[in-house]
Amino acid sequence: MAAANEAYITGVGQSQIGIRLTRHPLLLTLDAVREALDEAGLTIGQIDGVSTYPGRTPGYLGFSPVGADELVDALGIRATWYAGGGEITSQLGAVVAAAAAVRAGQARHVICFRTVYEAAAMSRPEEYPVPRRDRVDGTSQWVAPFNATSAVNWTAQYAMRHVKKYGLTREQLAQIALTDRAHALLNPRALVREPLTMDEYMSARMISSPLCLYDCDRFSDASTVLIVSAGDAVDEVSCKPVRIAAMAGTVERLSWDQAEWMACYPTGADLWKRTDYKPSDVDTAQLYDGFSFQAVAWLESLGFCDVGEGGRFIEGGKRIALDGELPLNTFGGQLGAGRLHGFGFAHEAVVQLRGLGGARQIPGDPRVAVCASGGGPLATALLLARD
Amino acid sequence: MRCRDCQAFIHPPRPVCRSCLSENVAPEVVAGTGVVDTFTVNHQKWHPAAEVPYVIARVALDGVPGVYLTTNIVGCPVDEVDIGDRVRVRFEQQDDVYLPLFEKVV
Repeated sequence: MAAANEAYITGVGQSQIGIRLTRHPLLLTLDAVREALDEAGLTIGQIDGVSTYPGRTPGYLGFSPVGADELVDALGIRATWYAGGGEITSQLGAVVAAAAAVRAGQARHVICFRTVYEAAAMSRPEEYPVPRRDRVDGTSQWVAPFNATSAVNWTAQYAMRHVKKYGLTREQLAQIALTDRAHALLNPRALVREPLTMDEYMSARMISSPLCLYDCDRFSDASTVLIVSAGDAVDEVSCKPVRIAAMAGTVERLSWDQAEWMACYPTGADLWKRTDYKPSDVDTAQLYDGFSFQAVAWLESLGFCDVGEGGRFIEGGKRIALDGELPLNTFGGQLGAGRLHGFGFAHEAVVQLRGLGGARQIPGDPRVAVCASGGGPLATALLLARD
Repeated sequence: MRCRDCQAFIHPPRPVCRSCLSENVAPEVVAGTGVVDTFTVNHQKWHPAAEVPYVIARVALDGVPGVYLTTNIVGCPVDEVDIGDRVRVRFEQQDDVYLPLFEKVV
């Protein structure tokens, strides 16, 4: 059944998701690795590749405390291929790289991981110092002097265009946060397990208009692992393999302010050029929502609705609910489950396609899922199929 | 920066033209006026010394297609800024750096 020249996601795993965890980030990564190996019925000795985003980030270790080479060494992996870095089309670009590697015969089973430790690092600055500088360089020099240092400021400006041009309302945007929080209630691992009401959303303090507090994810500590396996190696695994049916990724400009528009739009269009599946075949969408508006932009980018119609598409929230026509971010997204930084969306797509969602499992027999990371200057989308 | 061969503008400045790969590029004086391409009103106090709220905007400079500046719109209440507003530069000196801030043209 499995084609040798295809790439599959086999085992998936996740550590606990928390705030200010004290468990060492390498051990959180190991927790996720163990779960993924168990699910796939693989041993660490069968792993011969590692891929991560964005690699170890010295100077801001909370953002990415564990590198690919460190994992290779720490777990005694005999790697024939590995890669880790931030110069790629966003977080799930690490999965694209792994899929390309297994298709090229460079490895058979690749651990792809994303470990975040931002909340813990912030709470322990003596252990995870953030260097102070008087001068900024690189792309920061064009935004930091104007106190536009957070991605919320940059994303908000894209969202404001939708408000002014297409009439996106706060009530519409709220459906991303409300849906995430409703789904998170059904996910035992989710970070925020309290419901959110429209009144609470509407009265929340503004962070960067039109985005309020509940439109923003919060720093979390967690690790997520996906094992990407070669087509001629999937008979070694004991779980249902999920085929990576199509992949797409683009970079617009190496900045948030020079790009004419967001990278998710060309990425979404490219994805459908690489598969016979169509948007109407998708049973569930797991779309990046570090800021709520990104999920709206992804819905438009992937052709679930026309550009500018995203707000009306999610209005009322029924369409994107667990029993709706396009269940969205069924694990709670980043606004509910925590800032897993991109990998949570691919993890959940696989869980749903395997029917292992438990209380949050979507009805029917889902066979096709789309997941996406990034969306601003960088974007990656994956189409996953159990076919 | 501007390419002397194909006349395209280059920002952020680099020693090569991203439109034609010419290395014949040089700084170019541009209009200090433009329009608000998009904006956000930031309410979050990211730094103890920051005064909120303030407007962060992306300004499209007149006569410089494809170049945007992230900046602040100053000199007016934050709720009086909108997409399409005409703005003019007002440099603010900080040590040896001149920051291009913008104010509305009235």
